[in-house]
Amino acid sequence: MVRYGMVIDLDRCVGCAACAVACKAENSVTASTPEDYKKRRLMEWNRVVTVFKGKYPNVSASIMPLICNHCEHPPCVKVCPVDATYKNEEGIVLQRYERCIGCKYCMVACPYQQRFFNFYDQVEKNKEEHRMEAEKYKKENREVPVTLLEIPYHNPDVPPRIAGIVEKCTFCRHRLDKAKAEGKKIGSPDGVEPACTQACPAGTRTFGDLDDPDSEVSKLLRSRRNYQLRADLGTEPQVYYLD
Amino acid sequence: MEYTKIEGKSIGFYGIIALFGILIAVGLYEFIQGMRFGQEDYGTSNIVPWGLPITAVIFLIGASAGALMLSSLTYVFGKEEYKPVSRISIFLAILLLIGALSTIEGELGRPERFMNLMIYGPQNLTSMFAVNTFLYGGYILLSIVYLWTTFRADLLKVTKILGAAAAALAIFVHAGTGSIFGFIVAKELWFSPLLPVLFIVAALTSGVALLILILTATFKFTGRSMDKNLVVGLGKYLSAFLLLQLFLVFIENMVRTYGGVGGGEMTRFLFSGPYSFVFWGIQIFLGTLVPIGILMLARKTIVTVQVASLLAVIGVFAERFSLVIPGQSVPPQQVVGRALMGFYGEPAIYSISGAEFAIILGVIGAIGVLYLAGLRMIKLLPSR
Repeated sequence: MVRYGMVIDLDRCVGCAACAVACKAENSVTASTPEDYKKRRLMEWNRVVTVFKGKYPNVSASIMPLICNHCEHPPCVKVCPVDATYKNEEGIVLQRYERCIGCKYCMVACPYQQRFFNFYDQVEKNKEEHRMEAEKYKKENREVPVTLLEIPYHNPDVPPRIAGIVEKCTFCRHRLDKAKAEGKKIGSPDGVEPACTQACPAGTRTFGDLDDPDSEVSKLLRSRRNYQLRADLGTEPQVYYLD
Repeated sequence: MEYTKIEGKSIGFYGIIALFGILIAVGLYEFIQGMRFGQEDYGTSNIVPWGLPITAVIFLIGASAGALMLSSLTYVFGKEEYKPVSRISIFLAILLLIGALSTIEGELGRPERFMNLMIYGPQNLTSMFAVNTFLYGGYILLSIVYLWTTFRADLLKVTKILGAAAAALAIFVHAGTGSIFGFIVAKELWFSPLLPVLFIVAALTSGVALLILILTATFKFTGRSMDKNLVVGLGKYLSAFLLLQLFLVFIENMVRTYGGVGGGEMTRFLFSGPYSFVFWGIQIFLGTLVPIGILMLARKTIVTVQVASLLAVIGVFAERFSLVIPGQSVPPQQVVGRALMGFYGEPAIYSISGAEFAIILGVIGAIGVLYLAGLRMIKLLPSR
């Protein structure tokens, strides 16, 4: 059995958020506006946060990249009333966009806040903004930049998400599926990886099969002390942190 | 006891219907806007995905369950003095649950896919939401049959059995609604085995209080005389439920402050955060202590019981609100014992948006129109 997981080495993380940017581009996650920021509607499948303990001057803080933990016992899958969220046979928690009714029960059930609601049609919204922007150029009799003439880039491998449904990290499942179809190796360090892992300049992330004792992730987990986020909740995350 | 329909030909009757019609139009407009453009106008966020509509849903389901359990006083326990209001309380229970289901429908991100709940619901029965879908369906059907049997003098035995079954199902329905929240391990204020029990008690409180308000108003408008002893009797039940509710809230918060799972962050937010006035001011003081005081100490007249009921209804709604909203506001810790720094660690402040409020207004309008139509077409009210 294959059970994909990730190991994140916090000693190596520099907090550059390249993973967050790579994730946005790879999965065509909606760009968030300042308005979204104010309203706490950021779409961040992958985000980099700082956690701290203590009070100044006795503080210890660390930078932490967060993604969906693809739990072994995912609370979000348990609560979905239409079976739109499921854990596939490779251990990845996925969302069937065409079935989701948008009740947001999974969002309140997730202890990691790794589920995001589409408050509007992502592509459509960008299209409209681009059109307005292009019109501004036309009014001022300037040449319209090429980037505004085309519709915004959307990765053809990932399905578009309409307004009113919930979306989440997929461990770049489209990449894994493609690799499998082409017979390529999957997993760090020399196989196909999710976009965040590939983009990391410090080699913080390692992706691979947790059930395979020879995979890089298994070796790392054997060699160093590790922990999972909120292991006290019994969700058994498949993303491990080394510190 | 004789029951009659109401005339329903006066200007006042049509005036109220028109008023409710406006509310429905406002609600429908916002609902259609939501279908067209998504929930952009809502006050919800990714931290607080459930807003005011969910608060209204659990309040309405509670009131419905409470009203149905109350009808069993007459039809199961044989307390004849409550007979004038028992039949209409079954009818109200059905309407309130239909109202709750329409509010859920207005709150869904993709309302046109609601049938998925029936189609795919059975595939994931670990979801309390899916289980409840079937409980609600069964509850409405059973209540309709139960209401029908009360019209048949030859079916007294059946009414008794159905009344007991309906009251039992009402308990399960509302315990199930409480379990939607009580099973969520991620939220400190929700994860509690006491929550379904608290929901049932709050259901009885809001059910009785809402019934007193609606029925005294209906009797007054239709020129019927409301028996003072009946109202005072219902008021006695109300004070008992209020005391029980206060006790349960006290116990639950004692456990939370003693030492909780999530480090007590959310409990502190409830007690001293920006919503603390809803908890201390409206729920505890105005919604529980004041009506208990009125019911216990003031002279027992219809008016005092009405005032106490109004405060109790507001109090139960505030209780729902301070469960739903502060329960989600604080972003959870990612690592035990370590707080999130800066933006990601700040509690999200939910502000009620016009769109969500309009949907609730629409539902109130729909319940009102159905109620008036029911009074006119079905023999629900006693003839005096």
